[in-house]
Amino acid sequence: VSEGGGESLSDGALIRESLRQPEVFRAIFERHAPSVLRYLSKRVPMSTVEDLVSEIFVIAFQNRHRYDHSNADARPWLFGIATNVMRHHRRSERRLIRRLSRMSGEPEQEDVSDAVISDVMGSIERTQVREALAKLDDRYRDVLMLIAGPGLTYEEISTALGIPVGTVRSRVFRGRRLLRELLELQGQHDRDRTRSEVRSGSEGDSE
Amino acid sequence: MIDELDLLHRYMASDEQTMVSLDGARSRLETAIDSDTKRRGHHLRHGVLLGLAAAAVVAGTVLGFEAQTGKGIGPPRHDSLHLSNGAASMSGLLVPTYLPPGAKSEGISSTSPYEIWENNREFLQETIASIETELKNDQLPSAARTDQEQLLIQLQHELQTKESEQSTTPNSASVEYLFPGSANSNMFLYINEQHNGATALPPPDGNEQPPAFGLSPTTVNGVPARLIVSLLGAVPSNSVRWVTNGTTYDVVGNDVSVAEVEMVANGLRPPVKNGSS
Repeated sequence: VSEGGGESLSDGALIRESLRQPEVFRAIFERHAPSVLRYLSKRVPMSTVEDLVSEIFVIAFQNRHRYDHSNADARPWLFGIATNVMRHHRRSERRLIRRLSRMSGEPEQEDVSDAVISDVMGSIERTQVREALAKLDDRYRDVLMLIAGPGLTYEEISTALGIPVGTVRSRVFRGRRLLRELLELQGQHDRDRTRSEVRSGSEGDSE
Repeated sequence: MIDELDLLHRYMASDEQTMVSLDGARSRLETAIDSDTKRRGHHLRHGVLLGLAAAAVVAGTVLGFEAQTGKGIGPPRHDSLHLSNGAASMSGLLVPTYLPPGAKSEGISSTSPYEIWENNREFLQETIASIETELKNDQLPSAARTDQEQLLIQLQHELQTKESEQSTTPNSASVEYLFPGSANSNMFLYINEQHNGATALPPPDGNEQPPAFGLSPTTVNGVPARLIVSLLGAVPSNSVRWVTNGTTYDVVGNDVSVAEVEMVANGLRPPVKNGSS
C-alpha cells in the first residue's frame, strides 16, 4: 500500500496491512484523527486534547494486532480507546487533585470530571448545553456524545464501550431525559434570573 | 418543548476547537511507527539469519560436508561448539524455552508460525520482497544499502537452492526456526524430517534426557534426529549444541556433520564443497 494510496481500502484492510507495513497506519490517523480531535475537544480541556489524540493513536497502533479486521470501520474501536483514555486521564486528575487537596488542607472536589468540563466550558461561551452536559453522569454523557459527535450507531457504541446494545439504548433514553430536565431547569433558572434583573432595573429606574 | 438531541447535535457540530493542531499527535505516531519498523527489522534480521542458517544446514547436507571432516565425522573443532557438554546443561537449555508460549504439547509444527520449511520459504520470499522495496528508497544510506544488497543475494540464492532441492528430493528435510521470548532470549533452530508435510520429530516433553555427549563416530554416522542450535544475541556465534535422541534419521540422504553445525555457529559461511577446506 503506497502512501496516500489507501483511500479506497477499508479501515480493516488498512490495519491488517499495517501489520506487515507499519507505515500504512498513517492512513488511519489521517482518516480519523480530525473527528477524534473534534470529539475530545468537547470533552476535555483544550490543553490536553493534543496529548490525548496522540495517546489514542499510539495505543491503537500498538494494539492493531487485536483489531478484528472484518470490521471495515475503525471508528468504534478508536472511540472506544478514546473513551478509555479519557477515563484514565480523569482518574489521574482526580488523584492529583486529592493529593493537592490533602497538602493544602482544602476540601476535595467531588467530581473532577464535571469540574474539568465546566472549566472547558468556562473558557468559551457558556451555554445551556455545556452546563447540562457537565452535570450528566459519564455513562450518559459517553453514549449521547458518541451519537451526536462522530455519529456512531447503537451497535457501534456497543462495540466502542464494550457494553450490550440494550444497555446503550437504555442509557441513551435515560441520558436524553436527564439532559432535557437539566436544560429545562437551566432555562427556568435563566428566565428567573432575567426577570429578577429586569425587576431590579425597573425598581432602580423608579427611584 | 426542548429538543435535547438537536441541541446536542448542534453543540457537537459547533467548530470551536480549531486552534488545536494534529501535528504533535502525528509526530508521536510517526515515532511509534519508526520504532515498530526498527524493531521488526531487528527481528526480521534475526529471522533471516536463522532462515539462512537453516537453509545453509540443509544445503550443506546436500553438498556433502563429509569432505571437510574426512568421513563427515569429527570432534568439535571450534570453541563455540559445545558438543561435549553434560546432560544437565542441555536440559537447562531445552526445557524452559523449547516451545513458544501457548504452543501445544503434541507438536511444534501445529503451533509455531515458522515451523515447517514451507513457512520458512514464504517468510524468505516476503523478506526478499521487503528488502527489494527498501532498496528502492533513494534515501537509504549507502552502508545499509550494501548490507541489504548482500543479504538479498544470499537470500535469493538460498531460496533458489532450497526450492530446487524441494523439487528434486522426495524425502526432504524441513528446517524450522522460531523465536521464543524477546530478541535476547535463546533462539532455536530445528531440523526435522518431514513426511508428507508432517513433522516426524516429537517435541521434547521437558523430561527428555539428552544422550551422553562427546560425539562418537557412531553418533555422527547414525544420523541425528534433531539439531538444535542455540543462538544468543544478535550474532549467531555464541554457542551451538547438538542433540540426538538416538533415532536413526536421514536428512536429505546425508548426515548432518559437525562442520555444518560449525558453519551455522560461525556466521553462515557458505557451504564448503567436497574436497575443500
